[in-house]
Amino acid sequence: MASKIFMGDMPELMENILNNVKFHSIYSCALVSRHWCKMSIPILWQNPFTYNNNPLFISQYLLSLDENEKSESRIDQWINLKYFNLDKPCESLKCQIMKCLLKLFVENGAILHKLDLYFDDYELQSEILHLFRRNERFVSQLQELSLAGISRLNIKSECNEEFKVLMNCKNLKILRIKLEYNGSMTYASHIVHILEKSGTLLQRLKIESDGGKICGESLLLRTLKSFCPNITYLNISCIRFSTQFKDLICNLQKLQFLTLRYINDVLIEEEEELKTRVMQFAKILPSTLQYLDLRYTGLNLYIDILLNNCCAPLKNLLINNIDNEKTTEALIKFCIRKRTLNYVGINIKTNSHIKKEVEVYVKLVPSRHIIVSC
Amino acid sequence: VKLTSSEGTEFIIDRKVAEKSVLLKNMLEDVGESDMAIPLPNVTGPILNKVIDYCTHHRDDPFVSQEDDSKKVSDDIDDWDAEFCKVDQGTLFELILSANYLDIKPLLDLTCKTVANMIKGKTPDEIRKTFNITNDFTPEEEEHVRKENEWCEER
Repeated sequence: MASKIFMGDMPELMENILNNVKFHSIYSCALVSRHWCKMSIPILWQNPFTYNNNPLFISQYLLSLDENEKSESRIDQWINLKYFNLDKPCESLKCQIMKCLLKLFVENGAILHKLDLYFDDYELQSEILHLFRRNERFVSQLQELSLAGISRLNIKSECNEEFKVLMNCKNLKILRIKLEYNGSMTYASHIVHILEKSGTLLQRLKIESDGGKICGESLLLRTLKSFCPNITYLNISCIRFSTQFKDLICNLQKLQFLTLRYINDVLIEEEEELKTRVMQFAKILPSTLQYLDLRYTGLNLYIDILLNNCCAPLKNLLINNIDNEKTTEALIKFCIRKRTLNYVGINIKTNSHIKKEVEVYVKLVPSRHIIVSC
Repeated sequence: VKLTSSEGTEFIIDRKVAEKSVLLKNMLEDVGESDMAIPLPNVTGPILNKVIDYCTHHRDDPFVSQEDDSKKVSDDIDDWDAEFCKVDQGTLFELILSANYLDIKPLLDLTCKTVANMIKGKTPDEIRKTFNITNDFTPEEEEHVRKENEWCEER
């Protein structure tokens, strides 16, 4: 006669026993009898990934789920499991998990609204994009897309087949693209298609490049001007103060936040020419603009020209530092003239004399306190 | 402290030993000093004897809280405890039930771990034989459970 503990009379005691049984033996317990099965299954499934780091098991695990278990909440739980906190990070396991999860999403007819892709591994990125390509519905309703590492896709003037699926996103409100600096230039042509498709819906755009020149800059600016008039947030790198760029900014009549990085004119233009361009740029800043981040433009020497010619009602201005009389004076004049500026964010600490003088009119703060991200 | 087993056998033990049982500790606190024997109708004499042995040996161990169950490993049993648990299966299950009734968590954990160790590495059929369990699965049910959970099968 079996003990009553194992017959269902004392489930809490049986649970205590089974909690001390090693994972693989629990599987045997599940096959002993109906009652043992009922007691063992919850233990077996409560956190299987803690016990098994063989990547192959994940696909088996996912395949064994029924429709209800493939619900989103379940997927959330998996992501919260210990995969990514393994003592010895296992790249192949992570990749396997990612592929399986995406496959699961796709096969369940999920429709994605937000996607953040960082292409680090060529093979993986091809597989993922191929998966998207076969299930265009999955990404068709995307509203927020972040892409990084895309130059590794070897897409230059023409995008590869897989990438086209992302170009067909028509509902993007937020787009962040990090172009990888690849030798001397980065390629913008593949962004253009996305911008054209989402067009008037696009509100926030970040095009980040860590150096070089954007190949197809003119096409990019033209597209933005023609297709995306409703942008309220623009963060753009490696651009020139060209007429085309000024036309674009002038045309963005809802623009509230503008961040510029690595203005290429700084490298190539004569000082006088550069001053003229800064002045022209300042004059066309839209009347909706309240946030301007110029910390990494290389224009720190020309902030006075910008402020003296700016009519935009800036509330927050971010610059590298205030280290000369001209900038201090221009800043104070701007504050008196516009009466809108609340904060000036600076990267480098200002000397106490200048700080005291400026803070009569505006608060100086470390720039990190007022940064607005895309 | 006087205790009476289910058959009426009386045991006299130190209060400190008795207090290893949360049940007895609470009772003693409630009734205060008393010569009255505490009846334990759910525990037989031989089992109560074993329990007293255990509590006496561990009388100076620090108190383990209910929440402190982070160490769920079945192979951290010390030599004395292992020797203590070398009893027949019936006694072992009686000890589990008594430890549960008397609320002696370390003894409950020890005995549960010992049973867990008896399960370790066994096939379903071996487990059934060890604990005299009847397989009440239909072949279809058994196959279904096997298939559904084969992802965790040891390779």
